[in-house]
Amino acid sequence: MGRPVACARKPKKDYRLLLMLLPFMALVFLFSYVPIFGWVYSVFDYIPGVPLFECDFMGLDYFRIIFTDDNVLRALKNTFIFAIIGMALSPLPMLFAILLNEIKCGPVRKFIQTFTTLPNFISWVIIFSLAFALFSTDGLITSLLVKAGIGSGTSVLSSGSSVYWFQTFLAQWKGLGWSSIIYLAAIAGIDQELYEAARVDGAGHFRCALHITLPSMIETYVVLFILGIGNFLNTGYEQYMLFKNALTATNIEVLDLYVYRIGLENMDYSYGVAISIVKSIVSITLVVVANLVAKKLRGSTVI
Amino acid sequence: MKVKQLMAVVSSVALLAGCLAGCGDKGNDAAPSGGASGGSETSDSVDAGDGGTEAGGEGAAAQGDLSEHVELSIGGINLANSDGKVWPTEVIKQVEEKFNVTIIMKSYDKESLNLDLSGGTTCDIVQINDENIEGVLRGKHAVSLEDYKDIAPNIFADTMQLRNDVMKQFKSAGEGKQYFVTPRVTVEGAVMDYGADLFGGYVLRWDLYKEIGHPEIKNDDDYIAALKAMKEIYPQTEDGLPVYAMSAYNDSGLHTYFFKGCVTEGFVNLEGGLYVQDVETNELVADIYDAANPDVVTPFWSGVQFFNKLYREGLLDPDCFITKSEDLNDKYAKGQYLGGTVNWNCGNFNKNQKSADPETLKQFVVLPCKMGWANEGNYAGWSGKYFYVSSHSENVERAVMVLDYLQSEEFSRIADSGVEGRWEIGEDGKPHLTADTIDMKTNPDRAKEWEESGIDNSNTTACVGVATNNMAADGGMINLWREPDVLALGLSYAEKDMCETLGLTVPSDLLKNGIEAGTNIDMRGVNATIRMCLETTPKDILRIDSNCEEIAINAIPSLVQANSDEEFAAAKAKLLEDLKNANAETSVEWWQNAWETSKSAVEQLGK
Repeated sequence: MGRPVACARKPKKDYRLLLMLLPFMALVFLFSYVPIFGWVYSVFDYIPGVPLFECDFMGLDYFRIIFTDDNVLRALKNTFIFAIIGMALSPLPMLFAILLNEIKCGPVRKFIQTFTTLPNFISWVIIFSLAFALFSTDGLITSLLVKAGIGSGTSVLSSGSSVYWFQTFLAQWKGLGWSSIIYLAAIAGIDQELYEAARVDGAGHFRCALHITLPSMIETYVVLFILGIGNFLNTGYEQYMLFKNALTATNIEVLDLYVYRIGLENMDYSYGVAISIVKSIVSITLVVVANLVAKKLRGSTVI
Repeated sequence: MKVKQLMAVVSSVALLAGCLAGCGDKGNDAAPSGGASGGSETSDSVDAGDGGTEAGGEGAAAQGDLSEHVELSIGGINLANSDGKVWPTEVIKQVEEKFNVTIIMKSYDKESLNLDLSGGTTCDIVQINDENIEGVLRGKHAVSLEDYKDIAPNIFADTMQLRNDVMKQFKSAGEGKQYFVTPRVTVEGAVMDYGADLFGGYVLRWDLYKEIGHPEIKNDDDYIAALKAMKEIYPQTEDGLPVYAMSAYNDSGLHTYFFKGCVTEGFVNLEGGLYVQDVETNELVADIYDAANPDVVTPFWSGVQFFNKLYREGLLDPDCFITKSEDLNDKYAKGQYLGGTVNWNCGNFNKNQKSADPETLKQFVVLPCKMGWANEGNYAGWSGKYFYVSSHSENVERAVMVLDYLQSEEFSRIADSGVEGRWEIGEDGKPHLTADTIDMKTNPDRAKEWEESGIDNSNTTACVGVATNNMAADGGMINLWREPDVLALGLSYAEKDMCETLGLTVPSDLLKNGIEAGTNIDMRGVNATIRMCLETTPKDILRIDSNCEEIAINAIPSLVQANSDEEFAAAKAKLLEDLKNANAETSVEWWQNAWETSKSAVEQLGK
């Protein structure tokens, strides 16, 4: 009696699937793992143009400097503040998706979705120009606020104390629509029978959203939240670099921007890499901790 | 099914190959030459021209194989890309024809230069500044120019002796070889030259300044009083926009402040402006951390005090700390500023007003501060602008020949004054610009033609440098636009009106007269070679300096926006304390020692 055909073919099919996976594995390997080789720059005094192994060996000197550099601490503090505010506002895309889903008029829903998604594709340089036109002392919004007797005429762009909320506001405006797409997909996957059953039981829009839509999206939210913790310190630097000026510098300089300034502007590559390594280690630790917490609370892990 | 399987495999392999190919080397790995190239070329030796040496006029001929047409790239951090512009210009065409090459220009920023250096893929001729010298030398990216002496007569001319000694002694990592050249060396016989107008000083809208009775401006207080009076008669633009005296530009570090202070107090800045050189004593002064020099008003503090006064008078743009050069240019063009410290940003306003009315008085003019940025003797060439020929070049010999030509008197003349024909030898035996060339520059309808001529082209100027004082062997100035009889021809209507009103021939006479009267100074006393001979700054000092600069930038708002002298003093004390905590004293000590060492070395060189 021979083995079933399906069983005999199974190993062959797996092999083909693995083969198809190969290009993507190669991409991940090339762009995520090969760059880790760059960490070696942190133990040399790298000078552009000089072969790495001909540069002076510094050991862990650059890591020691990190602990004596007040700017790292300041940049870390700013990074944490931006990240925590970002985390606190992380349910916004989910709530926005729920609200968007409640709009029954198709064209209006599509218009709002497109309108809120588009800013994601606008570069920070353009956004800075827009912000300058709107929020500078002579800007449209600042002038309107003064005329309305609300504002003092001081530009929010030159206010150090407004940095955290204003930059968060810009980031949310830019990314809200885009971030909500994954939740809209999750909503589309919810079994419609659940809604029908709820309606039969007398539930209205609000109760449907609260008891069906929201719980159905929590799983997605938790996964994204934990992945977001992995990117806790990866705030990027473009936005902050553009909006940085003498008045905002103290509060706006995040770790990525500091690394950019140290590494690329001051050509202190090795020190910049050392800071990045520490940042990566902190990020990995945060993800692992978050995953463990998730396991404790939910009984399952994400990674 | 078989077909599907095959397609799946082929697709996967293709995707993988595509990914790998995208990350691979372009295969443009030119073999390092190190010596003279062109082994496969025919030995068709051609006279590559008779470029003399700057002011030397030796007429030395560069010999080399020019039989094969090659493409030559010149890249640098002060250059612009040649694509998309009027290129090649008449001037560049002459170089191309002379050396049978096609020249392309590449603009480098720090990142792209470092990337090219790391990959050994730089241009054939590269221009760098001090911070890349160590990498170029240790990485063996530059060829020793001494190996090509026979085809580089201009580089090794007698007039370049000091420059060459400096390059060999201080820019060769102790090897004693010459890898670099600096552009446009000031040579013996250079004349005093102030040009037609100044670029930095007390910048003013001439129409308004004239309207308030053009009061004499001797110092910052006079200037501020004039700006205040101008604002009173012109509080807003014709479009209803608010008008301010000026603003700062925040994308150039501390330049706004220390440059203003340099021209007011008589200093010249080192890169970054943390340290300055006294133009009269040639001493190094710590610009920001001036705790050790309580009697000296350093440029930074002078500049900051000036902006503080403007603030207190309500003349400063409230967006002063968020304005970048682009915004500044825009506001100048809209007529929202009345003054400034440099005339770089006023160009569009002047141009627009002149286009609308050729006889307008609405133009920015520059009155001199204490020091006029003129007559600096760069006897070792421009510091911070070092050219070398890449050892990775496939055409080292041709690159050396072109670089050598860029150093010649002949090229300096054509870069500044145009190719022969744009100027001609007059009856007096001296060169003169033709009437057509002068018309081409001043006639707005011939703007494109002017651009195509390549005269005063920024890319060419970056290669050749600016040394307006040098004389040519033919008895004329290298830059024929600086000849006294031509200077006044390029003045705008407003400048002519200014000259008529103030009794001048050209606007720069204000500086010249001031120097003669002993009230102003220029840069003739500066020994720029000391800056050139400074040793490479160690990384720990660079790190301290960078941190100090950042601390100073962040402290400026509290200084400029101080409402009283006490508040200003408190803000200053805090900044000095912060700088001290950031080890500014270690930096000052290093720089002072390096300066003294350099000064001694320059004295030993006999300059």
